[in-house]
Amino acid sequence: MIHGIQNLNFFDFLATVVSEFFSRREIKNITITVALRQILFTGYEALSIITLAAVAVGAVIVLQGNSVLASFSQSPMYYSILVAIIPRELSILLTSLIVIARSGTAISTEIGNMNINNETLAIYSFGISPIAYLAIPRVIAMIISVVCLTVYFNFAAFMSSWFINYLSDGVIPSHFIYELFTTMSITDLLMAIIKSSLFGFFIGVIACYNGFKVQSSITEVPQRTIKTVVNSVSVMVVLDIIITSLFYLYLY
Amino acid sequence: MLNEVSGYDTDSASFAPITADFSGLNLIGIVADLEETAVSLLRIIAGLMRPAAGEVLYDGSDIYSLTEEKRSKMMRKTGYIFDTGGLISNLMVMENVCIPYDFVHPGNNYEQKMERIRSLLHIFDIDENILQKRPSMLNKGEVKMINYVRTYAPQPEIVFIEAPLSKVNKLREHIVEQFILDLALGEGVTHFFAAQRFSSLVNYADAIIAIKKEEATFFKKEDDIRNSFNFREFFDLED
Repeated sequence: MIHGIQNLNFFDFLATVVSEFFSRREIKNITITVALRQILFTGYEALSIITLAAVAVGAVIVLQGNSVLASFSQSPMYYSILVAIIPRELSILLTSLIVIARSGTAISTEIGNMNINNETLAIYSFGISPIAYLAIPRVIAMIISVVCLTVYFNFAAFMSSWFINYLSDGVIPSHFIYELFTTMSITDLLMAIIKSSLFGFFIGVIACYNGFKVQSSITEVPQRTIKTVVNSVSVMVVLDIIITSLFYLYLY
Repeated sequence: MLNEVSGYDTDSASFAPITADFSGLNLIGIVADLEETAVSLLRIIAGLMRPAAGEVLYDGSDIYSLTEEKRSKMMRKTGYIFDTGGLISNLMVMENVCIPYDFVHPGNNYEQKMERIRSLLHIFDIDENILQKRPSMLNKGEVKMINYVRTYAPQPEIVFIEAPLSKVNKLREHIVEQFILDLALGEGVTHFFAAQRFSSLVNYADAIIAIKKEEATFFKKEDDIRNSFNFREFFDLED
């Protein structure tokens, strides 16, 4: 044990992250750079893979939806299915999965290696809390990145859906936008933002927690990285079921 | 001051309870038969590693019982030089050097900061271009020297050094040793250092904590270290 963080269980770590966010304001200036770098990596550099996933999802839903719904004479249901699948579920889940695979693992590995190389101990020796300097900016960056990437995913998926519709049925943009916004409610937007914020928060906290848990051996790093993926996906699935149930019970 | 402090490590390094008062001392050495033991005790005194038992008292308060805010304020007055690693790998060397400086002197401007950093680079005979490199581009000796620059840049009141001359280029050993002695014995900046076996700084120390087979003994200047503590005899070394 070096400085106490490694002894914290997950819930204590979570509580420490939240409490230090509100209490350690004096290092705000030096952590802004850390947060911006993380947003660049987690958000901006993930745009290409998010675009690919979103375009594929948007196109596949149109292609599958059009053929299946037409066989039941339910083509008008197309926009309802599009809204139920993309903004409410897939955009958030796929974005989070991509973020876990790219950034959750990267954060865990990075902090783990920093522990082994005395880097977190050096930060502690400056009088700076490693949680305030390493964890909080990354968690904030995760929240911002996942929310922005989810919004972008929706945009790209809808664009792709419209384009396939345009090619197959000649649907004009104004008609597509009108149908989409008539079907989509503010609750859908609210659900997307709440879910993606929570997913971003938990992915960030879980990745940092597992990174800090690495003690002295380099072999612990991949083990902790695997735990980051497993724990993040498990928490994400459970949260998704809970939030979706609550929304359907009380808001739809 | 150490009050009945005992230590343990994940491996085999541990030591029996020790009590020592460092008031008025400027250069304190910790030597041990195992390097891990000396480094563990140094980290305990520096507030980086909680002891198995006992208290580490600064101005009458146990450093491990302080609130996070008070601990942070206290540690801004100290500096710690690691023997290996310690530089933040995803930052440039310049950014590494600036972190503690900016944290301790938030009001100082860029010119003041650069003047201080350049003067240290000059003292240690290090090329200024090193600031634009990443830690992964440095060899172990350069990493150690940047650890020195980073630690001394904010002008700490207490400095902790792991193996002061280890990994230091032979040509710089004298410079580093003289720098430490000037600050510790000339300007009164308290220095603690940990060394396995012999370090030439031991000859100048005000006090020595010597640990052999987990038993710690505290030698002070007034006891005349040179008479009471013979390194080779203590560690049963042959000439």
